[in-house]
Amino acid sequence: MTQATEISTENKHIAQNGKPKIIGFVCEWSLGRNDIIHEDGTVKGYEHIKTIKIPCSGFVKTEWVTVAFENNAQGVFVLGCPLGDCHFNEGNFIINERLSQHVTRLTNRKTIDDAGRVAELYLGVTANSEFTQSLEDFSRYIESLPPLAAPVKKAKGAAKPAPKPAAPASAAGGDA
Amino acid sequence: MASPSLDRYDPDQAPTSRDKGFDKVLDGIHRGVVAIDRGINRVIPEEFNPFYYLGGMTNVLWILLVPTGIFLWFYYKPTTADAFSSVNYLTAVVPFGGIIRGLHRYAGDGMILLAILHMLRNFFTDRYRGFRDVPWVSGVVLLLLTGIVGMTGYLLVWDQRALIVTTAIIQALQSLDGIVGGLGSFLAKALLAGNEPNNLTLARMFFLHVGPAVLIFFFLWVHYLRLHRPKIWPPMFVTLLTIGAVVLAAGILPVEKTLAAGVPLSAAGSENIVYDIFYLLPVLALPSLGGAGVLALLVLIFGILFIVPWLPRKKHRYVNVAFVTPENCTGCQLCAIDCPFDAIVMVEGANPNPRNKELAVVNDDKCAECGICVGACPFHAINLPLANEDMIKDKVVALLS
Repeated sequence: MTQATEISTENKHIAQNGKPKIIGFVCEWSLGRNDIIHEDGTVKGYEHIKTIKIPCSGFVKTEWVTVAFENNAQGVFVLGCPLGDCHFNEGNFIINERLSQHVTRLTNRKTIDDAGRVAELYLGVTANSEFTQSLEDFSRYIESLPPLAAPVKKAKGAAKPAPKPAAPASAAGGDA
Repeated sequence: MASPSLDRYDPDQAPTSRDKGFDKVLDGIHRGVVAIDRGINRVIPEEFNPFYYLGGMTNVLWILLVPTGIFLWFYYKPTTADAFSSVNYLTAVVPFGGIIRGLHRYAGDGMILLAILHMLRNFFTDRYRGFRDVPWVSGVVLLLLTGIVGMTGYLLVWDQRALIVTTAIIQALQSLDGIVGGLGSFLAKALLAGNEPNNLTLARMFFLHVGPAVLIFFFLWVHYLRLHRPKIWPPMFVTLLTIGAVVLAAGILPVEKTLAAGVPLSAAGSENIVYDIFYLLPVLALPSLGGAGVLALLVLIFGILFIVPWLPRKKHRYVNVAFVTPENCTGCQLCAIDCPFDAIVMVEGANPNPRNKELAVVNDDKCAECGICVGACPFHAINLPLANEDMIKDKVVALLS
């Protein structure tokens, strides 16, 4: 957020292992507690894929997907529980709806060139092989696409200060 | 470089942390349950996996039981003299009577089987405690009511088996005399409307079959109370699968023929009586455990079931409850509509901005701390304290830099 607003140089979209940067939002109830994802959020064997652990796939704000693309991500995926088996009953159906709308919006605005840059995965807690397989496919697909034209970041982007947590008493007590 | 504030939301603090003791065993079973789902998902699209709709399937069978039961009631005569012959008449003579009696039988069996599966699945996938205590406790009440309804249903036929089951119930009730003097005998007398089974007995049994069945509707309402959009009805594929299985069972295995209660239990008769293990298991256990033993066991099982949500208490409750920033709230209701647990209420006139009519207010007890409302809000007005949207946004930027 404190990054200087600048037109990104050519290699900003490439991770250290030479592959396009991908970011994922991972529901902690689906594969979040699996050892397939390192502590720092990278996926084992896929150093260009970074993940963020979230309480439920329905927690993902579509705005964050836009922010990721504006910060040179080449692909974004959301991982939730299998459809119909969301721990919070509806989270994965809700993010499914929101993303399908948002991807259309992003392609119409030319933020992304291909709707396939946003993926949704719905996998249970033991589905390690399906997870790596889907990531492999997704990563290959992203590599086959031309690098996303580096967007000119508006100075305004993500500038609106979101409220700081008003330090609820319950949070302070239970967190220790 | 991750933002330090987000690091507070670490895996050890997250509600899924289960790495020691009893929780570790539960976690292993959870993985097993999910592995079964995974196998089914390879064959059936995951939106139609029957294992995701066990509660809805139970409800389908319950709805199937009501009209079939009303059909049977048209022909049923609740007197000791006529009950057995009226049941035989509706089975053999009335068009489709046999198949409808079969539907009522196997839908009842399927209902308790699916209800138990539904309970076990929700237990093993950790969906029974915390904000889900009301659904769990009302579910245990529903299980108890289903058991009572099923057991009294077998008495209504008034055949040899009904007589044996009645005797067993009376025996179990009379064992209560040892605890409170006369209580057991009083209950037994109240149940039979006398000291011996007589013409009034079946009217009482009939009430005990239908009365608790009506209560099931009330407790279903309680069961759904904390859900915004409960999955009451499964997808059409699952509904047809459930009904089809029951119709198939009723067609292949017609309800067995029994002998009237008046026929003495001869040596040939008593071994051939078919017991339904789903409902009559306590009666089968009676000879080995005794009346008091069976009652004690039932009380123990249901007592444990009632307090299960608080046995391994959910430690992380109220840690991450969503909070509203009133200055940003426009009263648009998007979060209240999307909340699956009905935890957000729109309060009229509470918004600090007089132009906005309503203000979203979070009910801490209902909040599941899932953050679906955060994704719904376009105005940065609702957030989780441990995973604030700015923290996530910073983390996205940090991970990509």
